[in-house]
Amino acid sequence: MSRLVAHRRAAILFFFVLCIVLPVNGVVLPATAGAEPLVLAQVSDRPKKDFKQLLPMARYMADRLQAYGFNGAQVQLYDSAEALIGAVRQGEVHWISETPYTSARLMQETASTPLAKKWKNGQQQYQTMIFTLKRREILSLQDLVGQRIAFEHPDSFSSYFLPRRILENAGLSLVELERPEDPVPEGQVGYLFSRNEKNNALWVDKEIVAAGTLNNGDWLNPDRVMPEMHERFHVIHRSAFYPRAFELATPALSPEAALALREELLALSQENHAGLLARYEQTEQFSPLELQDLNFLQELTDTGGRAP
Amino acid sequence: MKRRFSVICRLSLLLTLLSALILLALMMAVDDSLKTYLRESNRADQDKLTEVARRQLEHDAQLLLRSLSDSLRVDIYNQDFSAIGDALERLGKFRNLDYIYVYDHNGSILHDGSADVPLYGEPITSHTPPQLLTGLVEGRFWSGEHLHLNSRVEASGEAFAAITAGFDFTSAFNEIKAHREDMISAEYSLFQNVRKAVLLTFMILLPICMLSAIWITRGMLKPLQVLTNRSSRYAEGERNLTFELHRPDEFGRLGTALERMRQALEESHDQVRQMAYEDTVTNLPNRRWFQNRLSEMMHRSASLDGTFAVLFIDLDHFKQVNDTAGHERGDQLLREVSKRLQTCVQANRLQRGPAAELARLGGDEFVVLLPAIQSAEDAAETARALLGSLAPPFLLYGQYFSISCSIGITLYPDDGISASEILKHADVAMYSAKQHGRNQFAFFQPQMTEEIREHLEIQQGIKEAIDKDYLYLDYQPLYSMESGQMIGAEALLRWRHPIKGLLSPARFIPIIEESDLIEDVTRWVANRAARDLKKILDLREHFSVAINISGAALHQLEMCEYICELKQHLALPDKTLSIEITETSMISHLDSCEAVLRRWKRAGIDIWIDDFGTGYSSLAYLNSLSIDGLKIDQSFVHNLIDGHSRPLIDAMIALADSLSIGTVAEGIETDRQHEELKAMGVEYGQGFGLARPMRIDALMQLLETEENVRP
Repeated sequence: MSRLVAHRRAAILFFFVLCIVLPVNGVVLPATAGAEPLVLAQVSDRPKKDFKQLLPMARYMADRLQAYGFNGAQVQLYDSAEALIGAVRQGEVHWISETPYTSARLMQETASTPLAKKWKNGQQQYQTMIFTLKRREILSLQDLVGQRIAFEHPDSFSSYFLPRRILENAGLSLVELERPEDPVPEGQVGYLFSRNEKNNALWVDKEIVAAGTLNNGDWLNPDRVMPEMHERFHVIHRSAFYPRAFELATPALSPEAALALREELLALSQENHAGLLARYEQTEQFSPLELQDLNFLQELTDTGGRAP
Repeated sequence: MKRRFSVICRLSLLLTLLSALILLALMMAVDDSLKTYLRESNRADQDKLTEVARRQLEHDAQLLLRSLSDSLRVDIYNQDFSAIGDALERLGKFRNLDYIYVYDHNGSILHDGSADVPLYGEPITSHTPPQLLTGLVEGRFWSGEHLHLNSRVEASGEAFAAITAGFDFTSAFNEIKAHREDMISAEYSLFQNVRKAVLLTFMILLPICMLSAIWITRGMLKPLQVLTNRSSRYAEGERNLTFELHRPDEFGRLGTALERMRQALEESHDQVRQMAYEDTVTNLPNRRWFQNRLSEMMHRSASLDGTFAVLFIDLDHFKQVNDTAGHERGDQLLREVSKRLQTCVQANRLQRGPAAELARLGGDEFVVLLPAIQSAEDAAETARALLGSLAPPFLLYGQYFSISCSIGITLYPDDGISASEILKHADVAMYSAKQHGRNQFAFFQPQMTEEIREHLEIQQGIKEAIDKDYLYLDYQPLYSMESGQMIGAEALLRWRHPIKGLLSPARFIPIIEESDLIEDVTRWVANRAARDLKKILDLREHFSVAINISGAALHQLEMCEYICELKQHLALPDKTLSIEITETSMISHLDSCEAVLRRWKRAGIDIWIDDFGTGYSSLAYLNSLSIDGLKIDQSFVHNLIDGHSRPLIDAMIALADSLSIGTVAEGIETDRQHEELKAMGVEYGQGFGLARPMRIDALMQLLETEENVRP
């Protein structure tokens, strides 16, 4: 019941957003711009895996959106947010599935429109955790001064953008280190990118860095953080919860099609589309945007990449 | 004799056996070679395979590790454990790894391939075999089927880390081993197949070899077989063949040699046949030929129920021709005779058709075989023709010779059924013809056998008697009628036959006289008597011994010479050896004996006429031949008293007186006869009444007694 109410509310909000955004950009795309594939894009450091995860959903939606001139589906993966943004600006992408920070940048930099919240990996929302080895006896964020912390990669919301903002908000000064061996400047916290969640945990475990950052989903994933590590690790900070991921329509997708896509996404349910959803990065469901979500995204972009 | 295989058969078998042995040896050699090859190739294969595999595996592993090094360079640099771990994990999925470590320039392990990298930071040396060079260098080390490799990870040409791994190739090597066993088993089955094929080939080749051997041997030895066959046929008597093969090879030469041998044999055979069956003097067939011919005839006639005749021809007195004219002329005469006989036989044959055949049996004996006669008259006719053919005298060396023959005829099968019998009976018949006066023919009669047999026995026995000393001499003393003193003795021949006892001289001497044997007997008597005389002369200076010489021996100059030489040899004084000749024999050989008598006379040998008065002698010879005395035949002495012989004895004495030759009265048996004859004027006397004939010992004893009595 509450779900239906939320649904309607989100639809109104979406319409509102569209009305604001579209005239600003002065871009009105025709409803049907000839036969072309529906392009779904994402930033990925595991393109092979992600391609397989995204393609079924892209095909499904392309099929549903035939009326809007789509005769097939494509999945485009980019190794950085910049590359993705560039592609969107070129009009090569119709539809994006991304985490909050990249979503915020897309909205900001490409006038893309969020369509729905994506319960990626079964998570509606998640939090960032900063952890250390118990025996290092680093008990607070302040203890990290003169130490090294491992982030995942620069495009990560939960393992870079968010923890960085947390550390900076805690008054710490961060400096990026080239190599783990590089010395940490006096009074600062050195940070390094571990490239993925697993490395993040291992670096902490092998004392390459003093602390690591992972979202709660990865923290509980035994493939990324082995259960025995939990006993050795000590979480020194947990962030607030944030939406897990968003589906966005780029300006290349007509508002009608975007609307139709949103409707189609929200119409997917575990009852009828369990397989399709599961393949789509273990998505539990899609939920309509709420105002606070839009605010959250707005806030992310307002800070211009600075941690809120 | 056990039947043997032919040379071809044996040679074929031998060749086959040889082929089989060679094949067997070849088979065994191939078998052995195959086995060795199998063993060696397996081992070599295995070694090579292992070696190649080891090298390849090593190479692959190095390549793998190097490629891993290259691909993980950045990740290692970045200490991207997850990337390294994923790569190592992926590697571990399709490689059996004992271990794989990534370590840094300090030798500390960066990654051990496991999810939580428990060995992180530990020294690499405590986890790798000590033999493996560690540090940032390339290295490799095999321990059994495990390869330990060390590979550098470089950045800008400088090593900053290394990957070391232990590869477990046990399964690969096991596969090689399994493969080897598969290969061995496959090769073994191949080997078995080859072996079977070889055996099969052997079994196919063996009969082929055998057939080839037979074929070749037969082909090669065919000429030998031909020669063998011809030799056998030749040995069995076939003459119409040749050994010539007209081939250039050894067989051809053998054939030619055999042919030459055959021709030489034929020539030699002909010569032998000629020598064996031909008489060299007359070129007529000889005795051997005749005997064969006769046997053949008898064999043929027996089967054809035919009749044939054998004419046995003996020349009359041919010996005298030889003795007087010499053997050369004798032979010439024989040739002439044979020509006439041959001509006669051939003429006879032309008249009758069937071939009569003439042969010389030896000496003066010929024989004619008349085949297929109709009757005895046919044979008689031929005999008459033969006798007639010899009637004209023969002119040889300007001298005429008259010669006749006696012919004995036998008819087959009436007169004998064996060849020897037929011939012997013909001889008997011939003998009978001779007995009946010669120059005639006689058919064989069974009773002839007995009379002839005796003759033959004596003629054949006398030689034995001479050789074995069955003969001896008795001496009948000769006394002076006047003084009554023994002045000599007559040697009388005696024959003591080992079975028949003492044979009568009257019986055997005439038979011996008929034959040539009289010569030998005379020599024996002369020799013995002369030697006895020599002994007697030692005892009494004046004594004479008389020997009787047969008329048959009288004309022989050899005999005459023999006695003369004997006298000279023993140095017998003149008038000690006397010769007595019967009046009959002297008269019949008067012409020829004259020279002989004169010769003896000159040699100092007295000659007396024996049995005087019984023959029909011409008194003229008594004067002309210088006879030393007459021996009045005992028949006259026997009839002296009661008969009418006194005037004859008187006449004989008167004759002797008138010729101044001596007289001897023979056969004085009584004193009265002795007295009468003494009174009549007979000089000497002999007879049982005076002394019986005695052996030389008795005579000597008698003489000694007489010597002792004499004052």
